[in-house]
Amino acid sequence: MQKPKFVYVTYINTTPEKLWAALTTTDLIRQYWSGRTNTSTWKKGAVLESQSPKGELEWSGKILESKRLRKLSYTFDLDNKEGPSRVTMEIAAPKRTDSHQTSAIKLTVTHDKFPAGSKTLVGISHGWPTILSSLKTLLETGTAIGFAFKG
Amino acid sequence: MQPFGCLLWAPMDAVFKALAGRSRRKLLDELHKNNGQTLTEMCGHIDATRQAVAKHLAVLESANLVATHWRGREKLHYLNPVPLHEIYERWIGKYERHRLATLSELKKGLEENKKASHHAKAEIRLRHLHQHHP
Repeated sequence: MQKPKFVYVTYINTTPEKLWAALTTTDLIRQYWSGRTNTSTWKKGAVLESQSPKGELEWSGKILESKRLRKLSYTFDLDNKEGPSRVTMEIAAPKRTDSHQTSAIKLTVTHDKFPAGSKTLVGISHGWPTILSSLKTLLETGTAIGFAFKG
Repeated sequence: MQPFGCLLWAPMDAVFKALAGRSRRKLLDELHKNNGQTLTEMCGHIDATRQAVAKHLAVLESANLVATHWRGREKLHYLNPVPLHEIYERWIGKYERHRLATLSELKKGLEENKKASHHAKAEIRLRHLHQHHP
């Protein structure tokens, strides 16, 4: 069994409903992905397309699993012919033993199944922490943090 | 709107407390080099008992600096930079980021050059020594 390359966790003061909406609503995604839009019906087997603010297709994928309020998993395929990797997002209430405020919702993002010698990896390690911290700010304050992706 | 209200203080306190320990910073360095390690693997990096390493990892995990993933019965530890990114965003302005990155590249470049030129000088001295004292 291959081990995931990245596992990211953030605790957000929100509800599973609002978090799920933020993960699956194009207008909300645009705010915390800094102008990028991910569009899909978010149903298992559906196509997912991510466009730059200028409307160019940057990456695409397929929804592998979609369990409302709990889990969303999709393939992540940059248009560089190296083949898709996999993104999984899981929503959970934190354990009581965590020192975090118990009302916060735990979001875990796992990115794995990278093809050997993947170039996608380099961009990912910068991207997810930025996106997740922007998502947290959006849900907690109503305004996302603007940022520029490194080329 | 409560961007840095009291609810958010506790997690940030935990991050700074966790980072205050040198051994814990060393463990994060090791995860940065090689992400997704077991407790046994982590024990090889610092001179401490298995219990002490487990305790350090628990402190890091409760500060959310380490995320864990179960692979079968193995618990793998991952560096989770999300809280560090929040610190970065709190004090570093959007327009300073590019300049800071340039400054940091400059520092890295100059320090590598310095090391290289020290090395070169040492080699010249050595050659000089050999020429005069064959």
